[in-house]
Amino acid sequence: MSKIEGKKLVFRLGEVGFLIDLNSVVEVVEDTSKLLDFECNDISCGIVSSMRYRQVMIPVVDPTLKLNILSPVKLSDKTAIVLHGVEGRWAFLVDLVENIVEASKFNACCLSAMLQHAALGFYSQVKLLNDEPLIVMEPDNYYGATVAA
Amino acid sequence: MKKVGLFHIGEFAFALSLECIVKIVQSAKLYKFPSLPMLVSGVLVNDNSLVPLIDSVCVYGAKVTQSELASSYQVLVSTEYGVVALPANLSGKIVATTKGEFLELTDDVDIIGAVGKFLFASDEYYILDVNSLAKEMTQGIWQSQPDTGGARRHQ
Repeated sequence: MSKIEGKKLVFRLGEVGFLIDLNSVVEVVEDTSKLLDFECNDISCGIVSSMRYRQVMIPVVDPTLKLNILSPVKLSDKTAIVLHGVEGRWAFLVDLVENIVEASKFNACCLSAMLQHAALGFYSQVKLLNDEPLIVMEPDNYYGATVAA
Repeated sequence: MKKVGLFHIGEFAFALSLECIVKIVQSAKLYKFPSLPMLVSGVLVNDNSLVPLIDSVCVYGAKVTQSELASSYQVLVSTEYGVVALPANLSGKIVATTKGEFLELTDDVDIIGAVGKFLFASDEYYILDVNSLAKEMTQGIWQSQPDTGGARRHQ
């Protein structure tokens, strides 16, 4: 079994905590300051820049735009999480990567019908880590379909 | 309704039927969350479920500081749309309805969820119908849904 099997990456956008299955993640790029090209963007599609990654330019999405989350971190100071997409690699920006956590540490968290409807298209699952609710990141809501690494 | 819970938040006084009160907790940690329904200021966790907390400023014009809010009660009520929480300061009490008097609302009152008043010890409390309040919270959800699913490649 792979060492990343069953592990989650925990990160933050503003004050809000998120998790993503580590299987989906290609790499976490902490220092993006010299890699991002903000001239190459398509804001109407949520793409805020492109990023040079392993000799290829890949699209970079900022989820705070869609989620309307206030972020105190400048775009150029953010961390990029690179994912596999069906059309190639792409990345999304986060304020802070906190930890890698075993899936068994998370507890299920119920969303009432009211919250489910309000979050439709943004997120559908929330899990609890030490009683803090974390949103399960669903990359397909932000860019083309993602495949496991 | 045999008993009512009487609460204040800021200057706003409200009454809730005891039957709809699930639990009263104090100083529950409030989390900011994206894409919440209208009239909701955040969520709290109760019994492994997320509970939306009604925005007292938005709904009732109750001006309370963050520190007051942090130390307040959260009254969890059961509605047709799930459990929701209302903030209340620490002066809450439960009384039998026979100890007070029910009054009708005047036409000029426009408070979300208010269906009448309860007079107790010379104080008037707005009686809140939690189902209409929760229904009001769902308004606008349908209009706010994303239509494209976010960032996608150009076709």
